[in-house]
Amino acid sequence: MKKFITYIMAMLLLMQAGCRKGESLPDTPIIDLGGETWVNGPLDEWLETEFLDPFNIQVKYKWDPYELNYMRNLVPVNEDKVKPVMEAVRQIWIKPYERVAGDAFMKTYVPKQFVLAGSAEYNTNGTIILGQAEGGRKIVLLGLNRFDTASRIEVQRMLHTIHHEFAHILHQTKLYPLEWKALNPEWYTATWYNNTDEEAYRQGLISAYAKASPDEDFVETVSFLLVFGQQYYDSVINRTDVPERSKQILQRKKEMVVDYFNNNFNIDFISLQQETQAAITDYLQ
Amino acid sequence: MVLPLILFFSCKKEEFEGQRPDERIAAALDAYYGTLAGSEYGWKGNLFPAGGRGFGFFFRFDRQNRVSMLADISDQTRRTAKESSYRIRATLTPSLYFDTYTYLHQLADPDPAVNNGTPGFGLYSDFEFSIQYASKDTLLLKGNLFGSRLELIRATREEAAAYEAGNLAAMKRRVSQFLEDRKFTYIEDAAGNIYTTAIDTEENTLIVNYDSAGTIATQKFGLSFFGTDQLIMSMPFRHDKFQFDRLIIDSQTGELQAAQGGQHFVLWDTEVPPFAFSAMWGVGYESIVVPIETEAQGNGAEFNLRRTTFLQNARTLLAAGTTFPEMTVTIDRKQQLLFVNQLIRQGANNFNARFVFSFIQQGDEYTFKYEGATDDNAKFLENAFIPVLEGFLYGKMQFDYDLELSELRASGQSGGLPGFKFVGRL
Repeated sequence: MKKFITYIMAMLLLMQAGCRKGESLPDTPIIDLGGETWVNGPLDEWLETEFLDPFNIQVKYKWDPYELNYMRNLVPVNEDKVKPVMEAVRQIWIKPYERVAGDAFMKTYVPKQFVLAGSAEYNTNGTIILGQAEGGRKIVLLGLNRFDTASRIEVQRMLHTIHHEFAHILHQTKLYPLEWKALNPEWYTATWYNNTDEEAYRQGLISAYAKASPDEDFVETVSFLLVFGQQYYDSVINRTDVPERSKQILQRKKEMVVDYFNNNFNIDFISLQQETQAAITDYLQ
Repeated sequence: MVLPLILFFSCKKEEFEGQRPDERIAAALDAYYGTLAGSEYGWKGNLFPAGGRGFGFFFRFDRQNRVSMLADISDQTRRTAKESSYRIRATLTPSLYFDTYTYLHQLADPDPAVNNGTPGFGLYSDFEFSIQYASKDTLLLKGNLFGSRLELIRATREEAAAYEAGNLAAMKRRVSQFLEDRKFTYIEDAAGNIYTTAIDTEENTLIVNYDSAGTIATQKFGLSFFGTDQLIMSMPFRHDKFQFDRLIIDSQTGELQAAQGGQHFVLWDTEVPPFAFSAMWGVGYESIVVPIETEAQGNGAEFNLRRTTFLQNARTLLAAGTTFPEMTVTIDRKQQLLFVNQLIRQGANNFNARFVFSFIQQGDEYTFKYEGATDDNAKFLENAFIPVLEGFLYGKMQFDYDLELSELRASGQSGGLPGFKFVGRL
């Protein structure tokens, strides 16, 4: 036994001596482990000043396939579109939230990365994807080469994507009430794209895409209320072809959104809605 | 005995000497940047998308990750340079990324409104390219997604000046002028074999047809307008010992020649078709595009009657202002099918209604059997279109060239229904 212990001790000594190295780590950065580099231009500097410094938001506009859905064929964004898009993001999305919810709210919940691409994702079922949110950290905005600062439709389309994705980040942080999932569960379907918006209205949903799942229903409702406004939402409720029960569901969903923002984030949703509408009008002038 | 041996071998280290792999990669990337930006007069480019066709480019790269380019895509892209960004990235192999949108991306754009391509795929082109070969004056690159081929050749001062003066547009115009008055162009090899050529300057394609052991064989190539006077083929044409890999525009006469190395072959023209239409139909020519809203010269009275009846019927079905400009008759000899595609136009939007026939061929005559409407548009339009569709069903249908006009056209004529004859462009 004594001989065995001596042998083990000798081996441990050998291992320690044999593995000791006095070398230092290389002091030059290893390529692609510190991020890629390129020569910054005025656009990079503007994004740094407007988004990275104040909000810690990185805006990736140069093509990086690993940030996007590699199962789909996409193209990068046109440089000419980056500044108008991000100005709209700042003026119509960030500023209304800052005014109503405060600086701290935005700095806490704002996604830390925006990834921009020029085209939409084309699905095999004929639908297209205009944006995605990932884990509260990142928002992907797609189809930006169509963005037109003079077009209310295009501005609302892009803003709808951002509010939709940001609402995902919020409910991924604090879940909406479970009652939401029980309001009209019979209409949720994976083949939502076989339905029109009008059919969705009659079922108590604000868009065909809201039929995809309760989560999508919640964020579509938030986004429509903010981007298209109360008047639009009421016009859907007041449609003559929308049954009474569906009218009540749409009304209840709006109330739940207001309560959700108030109870979880201390945000006056009606004020936020008004600020967002005013910001859209200002931006388009 | 064992312990000293362990001690000796465990402490032996083979120190790595030289550059680390990432340092070697950095040096390689830097060298590629140097090559691209080091061409004082830029680079001539040929891009052959995986989906076919060919596109000429002119690039100027700098060391600030900026690239400007001209491209043979539209009149604007041929004349006005666009600047965007690029970078060379260490992926599996060093790759050239055109990383913000520019002319090159139009070919890869999945939005069909951009390039009239396949939704989700565009023209199956690339904008990330692996560098497969690089020298001081040549880079050969392969698309990382679809495998499109991009060739970059260092340009001379004269070539750069020509590109920047709009030579891509000028070359295209010269080729169009050459083709304008020539119905059938062909090349004859030293053995007297005839190779007909069909150049499409809109699609940038070349089709070569030739007699191969008694049947007509066909090969299709992309064409890229290149340099001051060349159209580079996506691959060389080869048949027996005869081959060529480009077309050259004669600067004096404006005539086209095929070329391989120092050998040039004249593109002759003739009014007489080198090969009978029956041999070419479905091989060299697949479609006849027949005007429907207007009467084509040479149409038969019965076809015109049925055409106008269809128009009256169809206009009542769709919104005011809808037009039905043309019907494309396409043959698939392998599958023994004939497709009749009626175009429906509403404002800037085009829709297709596609009907299909099967057929039996006896000699030059076709007997058709109607198989039905292939899509919802066709089902919607079917009753209105019956007068035209029925005209195909009287048997003994023949197709032939129509040489009445300078434009190359062909006709379809029923042997069983007198006057059912339509004429359209090939």
